[in-house]
Amino acid sequence: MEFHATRRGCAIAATWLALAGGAVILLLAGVRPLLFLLWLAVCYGVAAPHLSSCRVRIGGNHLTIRRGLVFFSTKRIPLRFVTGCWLLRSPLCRATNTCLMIIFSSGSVSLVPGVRIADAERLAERVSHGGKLI
Amino acid sequence: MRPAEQPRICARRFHLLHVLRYFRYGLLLCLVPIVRALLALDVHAVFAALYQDALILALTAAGALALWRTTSLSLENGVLCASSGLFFKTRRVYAASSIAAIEIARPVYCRLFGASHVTIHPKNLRRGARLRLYLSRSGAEALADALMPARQDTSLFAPTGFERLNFVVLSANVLTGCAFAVMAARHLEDVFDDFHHLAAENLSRLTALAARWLPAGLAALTALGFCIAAITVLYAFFRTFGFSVCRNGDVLIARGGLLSKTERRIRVSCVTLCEVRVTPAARLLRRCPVYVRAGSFNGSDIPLMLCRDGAEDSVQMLLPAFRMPPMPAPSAQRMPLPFLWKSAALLALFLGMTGVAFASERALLPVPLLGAALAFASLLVSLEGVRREGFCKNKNRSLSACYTKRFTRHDVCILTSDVSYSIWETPFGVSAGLCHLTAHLPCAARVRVRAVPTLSAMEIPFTL
Repeated sequence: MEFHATRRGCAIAATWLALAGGAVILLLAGVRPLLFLLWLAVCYGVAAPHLSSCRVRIGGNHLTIRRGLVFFSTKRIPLRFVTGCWLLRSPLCRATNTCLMIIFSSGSVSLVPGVRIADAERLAERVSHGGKLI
Repeated sequence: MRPAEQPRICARRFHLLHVLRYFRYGLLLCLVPIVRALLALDVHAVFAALYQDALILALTAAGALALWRTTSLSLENGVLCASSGLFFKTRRVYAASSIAAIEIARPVYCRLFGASHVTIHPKNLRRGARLRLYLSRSGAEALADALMPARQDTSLFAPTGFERLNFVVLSANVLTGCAFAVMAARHLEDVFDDFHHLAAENLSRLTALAARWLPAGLAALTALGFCIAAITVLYAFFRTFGFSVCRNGDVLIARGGLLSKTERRIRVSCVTLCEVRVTPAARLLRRCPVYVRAGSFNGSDIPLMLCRDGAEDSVQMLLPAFRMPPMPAPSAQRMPLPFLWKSAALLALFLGMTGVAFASERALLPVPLLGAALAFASLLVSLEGVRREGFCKNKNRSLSACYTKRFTRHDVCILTSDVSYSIWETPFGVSAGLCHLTAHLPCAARVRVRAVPTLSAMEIPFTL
């Protein structure tokens, strides 16, 4: 089973990043339009493409999450040690039919934003049955 | 055949010392106005503060006692249950088989009241989820015997003589030693009013002694370093007094301590990581400390044993599944840059500062020279990392890895199959076929190895 993050979903994640960064800039430096525009460029020009490059693959006994355009990161988690899977849907996510997927294992937490809700529910079903599809 | 009965402990309250957790805040509140009135030599204010504080103390004591009466600990049918709370009740439940380690500490104040400070470390929960409570001495022993039964066996490691001195030196931890010194200084300040003045005076005498042979700046640093080293070694001496380790079945038992007697029981099947640390002191003494991690139990403060340089297989007496990482085959594609850039940059910076100090202010020369020496030592360890960093999947399903960090080389054996991996590739690494591999263990432990072949990292088999 393999699926990928959608651009619309990752744009929503980038929007949240932009708002959070804007709040920090406002608190620390006051009204700085140029700085905020620079941060927006980073969010939508770098972070969103990086997040939308995410590919999730479920193998025989492990889960692989790979993302990156210039710097690549790959995460491999044994399916039987996945302890939980959360699917978070904000109103914007519901409008775009995407969600933020959080995968817990005893050693790490993995965030995968912008995944189609159908794909995320199939993954959650798979990991909650210890890797066996019922 | 009747099934073996599971150990059982009837519900019992924590020790009365447990109320100190709730009582100490009220006590601190009461002492402040009394001390202020005493310092101002105002007798009327002292009596007024006493009457008010007596009321506060009485209310705090009543509240603490009421909270103490709600505490309960029981072990039944393989389930450990600890509950407390008056209005907001807390009930913490653990499966007995999921407990990785128990630590029983008996500092002086506990021994005076017949109590033990017990810390229970679960296997897969985060470090903050450990359970800390006070029990009576017999209650703590009964709990430890019920959860991890063991009889005193022949010690596999009990340092004596010169080996004891090696153990003390290698157990010395600068951070914990300094924390202990700061706490001690605060308590001594209450007893001796001019303690700080006394300490500063003695430190300046030591500096003057060192200044006979060293430049002024370096003499002060040497005196301060000597004091810190003496405090940490003294603290390590007290913590490791009478230290011994034995193994009984599936349980490792480590005992030691002079002022605070500590017993640690670790379930071998829950050990996630065994680490041999090669520090600069270990290289000098040709003895390496061995540390063990089990679930949320992080035994980084006291090593479990020492092993001789080149005889690391002696660790298998305690952990038979332990395997040292072999020297990796030299790779023609191995890039030295990920290992060397930090220490090389620091060395260049300090050499630059040395040049500036030499040209302008020679009195300040020792400080950048010391920094350059430390950066050079770090560079040497990084060069060793170029040759030795790597990982290896063993036949017994454990994973051995070697990595360097600052001045220390870590030879690690991961004994759990609950491992997830992160692989990070830079553009330069992609072209060279190399990546950085991080193994994520339970309870947020991580092992990071740099510049390993990407194909090997991608194909690490997961044990079933």
